[in-house]
Amino acid sequence: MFEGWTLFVGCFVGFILLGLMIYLLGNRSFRPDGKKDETYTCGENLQKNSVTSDNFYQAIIDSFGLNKLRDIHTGKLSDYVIWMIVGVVIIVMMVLVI
Amino acid sequence: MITIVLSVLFLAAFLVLVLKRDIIAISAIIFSFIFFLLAYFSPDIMMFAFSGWSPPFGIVWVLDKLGLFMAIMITGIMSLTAVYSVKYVKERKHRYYTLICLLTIGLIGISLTGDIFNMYVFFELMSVASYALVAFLLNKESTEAALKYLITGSLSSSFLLVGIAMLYGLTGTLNMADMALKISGGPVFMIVLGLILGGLSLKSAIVPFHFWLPDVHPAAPSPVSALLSSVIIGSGVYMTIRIIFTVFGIMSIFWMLIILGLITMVVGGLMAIMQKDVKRLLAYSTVSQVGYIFIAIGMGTPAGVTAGLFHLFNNILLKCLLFLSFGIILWHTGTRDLNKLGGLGKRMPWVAFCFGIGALGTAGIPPLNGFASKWLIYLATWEVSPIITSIAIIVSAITLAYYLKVFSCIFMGPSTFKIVKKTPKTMLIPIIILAIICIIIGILPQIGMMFVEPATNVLLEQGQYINAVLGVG
Repeated sequence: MFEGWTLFVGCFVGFILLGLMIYLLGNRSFRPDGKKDETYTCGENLQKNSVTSDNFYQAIIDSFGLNKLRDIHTGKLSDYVIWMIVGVVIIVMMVLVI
Repeated sequence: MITIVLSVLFLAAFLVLVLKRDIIAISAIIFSFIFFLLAYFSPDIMMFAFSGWSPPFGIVWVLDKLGLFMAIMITGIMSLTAVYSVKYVKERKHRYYTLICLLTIGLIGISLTGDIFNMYVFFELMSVASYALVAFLLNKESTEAALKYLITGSLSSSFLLVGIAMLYGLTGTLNMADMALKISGGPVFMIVLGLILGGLSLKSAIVPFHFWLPDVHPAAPSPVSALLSSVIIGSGVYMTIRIIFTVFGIMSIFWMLIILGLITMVVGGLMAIMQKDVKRLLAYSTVSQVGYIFIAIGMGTPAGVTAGLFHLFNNILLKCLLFLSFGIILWHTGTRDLNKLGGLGKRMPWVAFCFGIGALGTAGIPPLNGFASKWLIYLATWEVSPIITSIAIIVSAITLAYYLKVFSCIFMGPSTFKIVKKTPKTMLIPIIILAIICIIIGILPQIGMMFVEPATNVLLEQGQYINAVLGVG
């Protein structure tokens, strides 16, 4: 079931280690100081930004209307019980039909 | 011998409350883990009849490879969680450990009993212990979550009990091997199976029975969340497959499992991507992964069942790892909100590493254990329907997407927290052990398969089980 697995995983891990080594060696030889960063003054004023959780994939969520799925999860116990009963009825019917 | 293990756990549950020493409960759980690990390597199915009543009249315990596989997973995860909880749980700690011991007994009983009503009794013991553990923090949120869990859980238990009662009425026996001989494929038996599956679907968190899980996780202490998403969900899946394969032994309902699995996998994945509460996100991730397990088992082929059990095994490890890792973050920061967290990677590199392993493993990234089992699922589903494989791969991409979001929001970017406390070693060591196991099984999946393949054979060879219990084929 896992023929050639060790070779595949070995190659994968090997490439990761190689990439890591190149990254570390590259960082060691090039260490710009603050003064060098100031050499170019005409570009955009870059700031360290972080993306909040709300911004992640919001466009996808809006495009596909996924919030409708969220609306079903009301947190109300009565809704959960209704869904459970509906679920049992569906399962019994599926078992009988299939 | 099995009675000694249960007696030790019962005694520990009582003594930890009286003597107020956590080590009693931890030692008892580790003892049971070692016992089951040793029992696993015995060559045959072991059977114990209680009080000298031979089957099918008395209660029997059947230690086959599937039951022992579950018992090892349960006691192993329980041992790590019990060690983790030493520093995590601050108040009413001894009551907590009593409940943990009772939960362990319930889960072991479910895995090893050969009597369906006895299985129900242990299912209730497990459920009651888990309701109390969810309410353990005794705040508004945990009380509401526990009440929801209690009511939905009681309803599911009722369906299960009605199904078992009808089955007893139809077959005149409670012994699962004897039932398997007496069950025919009539519509009444199908209704019974539907009721039992409906009852068990809540514990397995199948859509539309999954609602309780995302509400319960944020309210429960993190070690309890880890148990809910790993061994408690796992026991629901175990009971479902045990009853379908060993008791009913039918192949015709497998399309139903595939349909339910597909819906569960997709809904879980899509709901997870919208969450900003980490524990709710992890809960939906569990729902999604249970979908994978049901799809694989629904294939009904040896490859499919192997893949399903292997993914169950990996999911138990990965979910425990993720919840325990996030538990450390919650312990330090006190928030589950992704918008408030950030920049913790440099402050807690080991936690970031372990959480990263859990996240990438769940998303199915090589060379981690989640990839090995998902790869088997892709191979098994491809033989039946490439469309199912395609959907499974797309949901894996969605899984990676929401875990990237979580990792980015928690560990990267600017930090707003000052970590003043040092993470206790009792909390770090369990997550490091779990991360190492996930890496080793990813690189050498044969180690995991050593436990999974014999368990698959038990499921697929119903006659062998019946023969071992009753002495007839």
